[in-house]
Amino acid sequence: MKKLFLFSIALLMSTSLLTAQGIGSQGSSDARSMSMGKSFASSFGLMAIGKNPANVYQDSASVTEFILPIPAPNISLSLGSNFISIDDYNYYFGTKVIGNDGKTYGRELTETDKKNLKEIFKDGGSIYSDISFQLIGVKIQPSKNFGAIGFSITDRFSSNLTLPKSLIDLGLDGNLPNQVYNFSDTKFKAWWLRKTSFTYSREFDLLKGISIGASVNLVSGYFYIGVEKVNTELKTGDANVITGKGDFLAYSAFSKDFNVKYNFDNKPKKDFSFTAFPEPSGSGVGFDFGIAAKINESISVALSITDIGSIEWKNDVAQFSSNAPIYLDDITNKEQIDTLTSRLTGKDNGKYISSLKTDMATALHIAIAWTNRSSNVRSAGRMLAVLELHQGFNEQPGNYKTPRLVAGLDYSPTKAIGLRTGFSIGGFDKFGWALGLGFDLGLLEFNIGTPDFQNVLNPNSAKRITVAFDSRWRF
Amino acid sequence: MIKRPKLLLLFSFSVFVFQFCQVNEPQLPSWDVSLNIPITKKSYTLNDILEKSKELSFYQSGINKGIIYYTKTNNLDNIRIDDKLKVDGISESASETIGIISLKQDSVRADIGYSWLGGNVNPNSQAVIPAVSNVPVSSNTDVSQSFATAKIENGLIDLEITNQFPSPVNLTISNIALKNIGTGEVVFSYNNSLVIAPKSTGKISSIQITKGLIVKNQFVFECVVSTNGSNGNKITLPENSFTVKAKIKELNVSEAQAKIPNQDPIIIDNSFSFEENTAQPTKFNLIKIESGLMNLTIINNLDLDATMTITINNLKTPSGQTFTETRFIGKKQTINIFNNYSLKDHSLVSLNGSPTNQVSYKINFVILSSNDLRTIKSTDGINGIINIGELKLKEFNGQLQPKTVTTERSSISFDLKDLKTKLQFQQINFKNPFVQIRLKTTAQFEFKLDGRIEGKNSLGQKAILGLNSKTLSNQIISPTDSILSINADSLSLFFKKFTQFPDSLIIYSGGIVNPNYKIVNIKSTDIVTGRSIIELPMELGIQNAVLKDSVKVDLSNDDRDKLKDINSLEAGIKITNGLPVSISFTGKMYDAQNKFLTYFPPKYADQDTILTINGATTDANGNVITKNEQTIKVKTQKAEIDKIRNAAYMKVNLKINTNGSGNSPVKFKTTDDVIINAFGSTNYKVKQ
Repeated sequence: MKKLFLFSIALLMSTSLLTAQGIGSQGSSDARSMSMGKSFASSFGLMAIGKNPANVYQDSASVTEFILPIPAPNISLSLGSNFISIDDYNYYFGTKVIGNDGKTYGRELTETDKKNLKEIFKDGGSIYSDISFQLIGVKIQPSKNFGAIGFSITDRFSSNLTLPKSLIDLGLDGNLPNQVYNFSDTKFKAWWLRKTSFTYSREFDLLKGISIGASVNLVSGYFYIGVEKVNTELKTGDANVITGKGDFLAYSAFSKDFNVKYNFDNKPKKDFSFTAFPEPSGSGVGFDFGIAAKINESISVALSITDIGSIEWKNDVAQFSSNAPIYLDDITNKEQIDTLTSRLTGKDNGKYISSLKTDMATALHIAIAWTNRSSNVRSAGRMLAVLELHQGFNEQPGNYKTPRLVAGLDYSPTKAIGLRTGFSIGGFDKFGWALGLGFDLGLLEFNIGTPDFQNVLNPNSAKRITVAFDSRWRF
Repeated sequence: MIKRPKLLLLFSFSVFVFQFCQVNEPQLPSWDVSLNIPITKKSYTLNDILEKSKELSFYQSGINKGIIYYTKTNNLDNIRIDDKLKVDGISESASETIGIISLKQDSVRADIGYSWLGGNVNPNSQAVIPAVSNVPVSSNTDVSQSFATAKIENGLIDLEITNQFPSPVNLTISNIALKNIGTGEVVFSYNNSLVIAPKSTGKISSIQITKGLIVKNQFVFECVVSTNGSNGNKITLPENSFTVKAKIKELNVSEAQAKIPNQDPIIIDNSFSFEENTAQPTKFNLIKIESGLMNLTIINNLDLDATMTITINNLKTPSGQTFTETRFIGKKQTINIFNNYSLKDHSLVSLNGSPTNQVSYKINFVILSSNDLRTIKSTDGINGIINIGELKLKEFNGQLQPKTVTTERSSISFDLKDLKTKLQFQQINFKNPFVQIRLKTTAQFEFKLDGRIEGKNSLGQKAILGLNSKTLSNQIISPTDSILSINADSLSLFFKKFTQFPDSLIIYSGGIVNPNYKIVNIKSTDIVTGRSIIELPMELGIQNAVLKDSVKVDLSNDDRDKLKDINSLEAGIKITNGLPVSISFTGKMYDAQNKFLTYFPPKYADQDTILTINGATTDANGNVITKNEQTIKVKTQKAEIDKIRNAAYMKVNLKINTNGSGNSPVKFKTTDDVIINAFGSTNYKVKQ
């Protein structure tokens, strides 16, 4: 219990840094995009890879762009929950009391405290994390006729965790008689992927003002953990007999280089080891398609579908499942206890399977933008306003089926400075007020921003903290 | 140039402020949570107890099928025949006289000269023998060498008179008589005449000697002689006119002073009896003697030496020969022929194949002849005194006198361990208790058991159960039937006298060997081995049995520490009692200084200190027909939990009653079970 809390806090309290090639409808992305409520239509060139490949092509004269580890590596970290703020955390989990024996204890929760804590979880306790590294990015646009080609390598660690409400009730109230505890709202998915993207985008003569782009993404998966379903139920009946069912299905796959040993595997145990370039456990090919069109000089529309494809996990893929009744009427009966444990955890039902296919975080992005400039090259007084809809088709890490509406604004008071703001409504975060700043020095561009400026103003009521920072070389 | 630097700085400041928002170090809170858990669900059958106990078993068939019983088999100390196999000694004397003595044949002679002729006639001269008539002659004979005196019982004399005269002198001898010299008693007389021709012998044979006459060894011959003379012829006169020779033969005397020739042996042919005066004496076909002493004294009252041979016909030596002993016994001597002669390994056998308590013996006293004069009477004889001490037998075949053997003591302990002292009851009513004594003899004989069983407990209660015809199914053990059962009713009554189990049962076992005086075959090494089998079927009634015990409260320091966080406990027990017994439980907890802490279950307004579990319902035969189902809840509040934390031990008091009416027996079967479904609720403080 304690470790979970600490982990959650760590996730929440880790700060900032920079860009990402976000995927899904919710994932982190570059600082400019984050500043405008995680909009996609505001990203062009290398920054458009993973959002709308059509926008990799720019009608500007920009030929070459690089994203390099210098001057600053492109790292994006987004950690959050949808249920607990820092204030809440400090109150429940950050209070110290010195007891009569001189030892340090935590807060002693009253019944009201417990009730309030349960209230915090009433809509579910979800925690997500999204960490990405962009190792390298290159875009070349030799000419407008040629179009633009782009290449990038990005690592992403993503996880979605939803704590079941029944677990909280159990922890705070205990197992009340005749109360059914259903854990079907449990969710968990996590993975580490490395995406190598090849993008081509251009404007076609016949489709003047319309650019079309596509990315082919070669995805290597290094680990995957996913809970497909949980229908486990428990009930304490007469004579405190515990009945129910253990019903869940989960998968995991790890690179062989991590030396992960399952309990059902008889191979010799080796120490866990981590390497930055492990042998993949799964691979897949994904596609991004995008189209951007200028309606007129001011208004443009864009549509993209990202991460179409799936990853097939083939190496050391394990399945854990349970689909059996639960019955406990004797805690001294080791067999019953072992059966209960097995049916709750599936530890005796683990097995290797030949392969597992997981969808990528496919999402649809629709945008309409207005600008007072004909070119997307920064200039003093340039303004860009966007209105977007992001719809995830699944709930893979970084993706949510709840649609997200974005309204963003980018204003350049000078050529070198960009002020950005925006609102994100819906999705996992429900609401965010974004704010950011950009510095365009011509050769080098810096951007900083946050999609949750409201948390900056009132940090202790924040449920998540996200700050983005990126840089880009342009030639 | 950067326009609106303030805006930029404000934004940057915000970011830095954000970076330093207050996030406290994590500290897990504490809170109270309820736990409702099923503690255990266990089913116990009495069969489970069987597996842990060597003394408990169950009937696998019959009307008692399934009923559990306590069984204990104990070997009894061997009843040894040992020195019980014995025969009383005897002391016997016998005597025999020599009876009529026969003397040697002897003869006396008288030479008659010429005096009867008158005249002076000399032997070897020539003379004319005148005829004479009836001239009395008397002449002393010579002395007999065989005897000095003898009292005639009977005897014969052959008289030979030889006419010494030559021809023609005949002699006519008449009125012949032989008389004792001195007394003149007629030894014999012959009234007929005997004409004897010259140089001839006239014989008179087998003249009976007067019975009762005491004769001496010299006689006087008397006769009347007549002769025709020599007819005037001169004849040469022989030495004697005539010679008389009396041959004494077949002389049997009742007294004598004589040279005694060989006589008929004096024979004592007698027998002695063992246990003569008893109604059922021991009669043997064969006895092998382990030990015993024999003394034999012979008194020779005769003035004659003798050779004595004693033969005890029934007695065989270790080599199987008939016992016989020959000894020389001097005249007038008393000889201890046997002085504590050991009869070990000797045998006594019946001579006719039928058991007998008589031992025949023969003393053959062969008198040795004497060459000198011995004084002897027919009433003289020998005395024999035989003394045989108590015989301890090695082996006996025959009709053994019923003998009582020493009572042996054996103990059967009840392995009830502490239950003996911890369980008391008002009454225990066993139905069909079974105690069997199985005895086996190595010999072929009957044995009548006689003894008792005693039981005693630590309360000083004692009960005695006699082992006799009233309490035993059979009192006699025979080679083919060695099982004795004690009547169940007697046993039930025996156990009813106790309110606490006896520590052990003491069996005193003795009895009578061969009570029916049968023909037996028995050795001293024979033993009666036995074992007792106790079977106490768990078909019993027990009334107000109280079991007290002290159990340790085995909580570790960690456990006691954890109890601090428990605010309250409530445990429920759902019991399905298939045993025909009700149990009431109460406990009292004490600390290490023996200070009372609390009852368990604790006393509250809505909770008593006694937990009662009712028994299953039984029918008239004690069979369980309906199980009793009940749910008991026990709660403990924090104050009592805190006391329990300090508990070192708990005194447990269990009261047990069987469900039969009037304490009638109920049956405990292997299938009887108790299902315990325990569950608990606690309010517990979760903390780091």
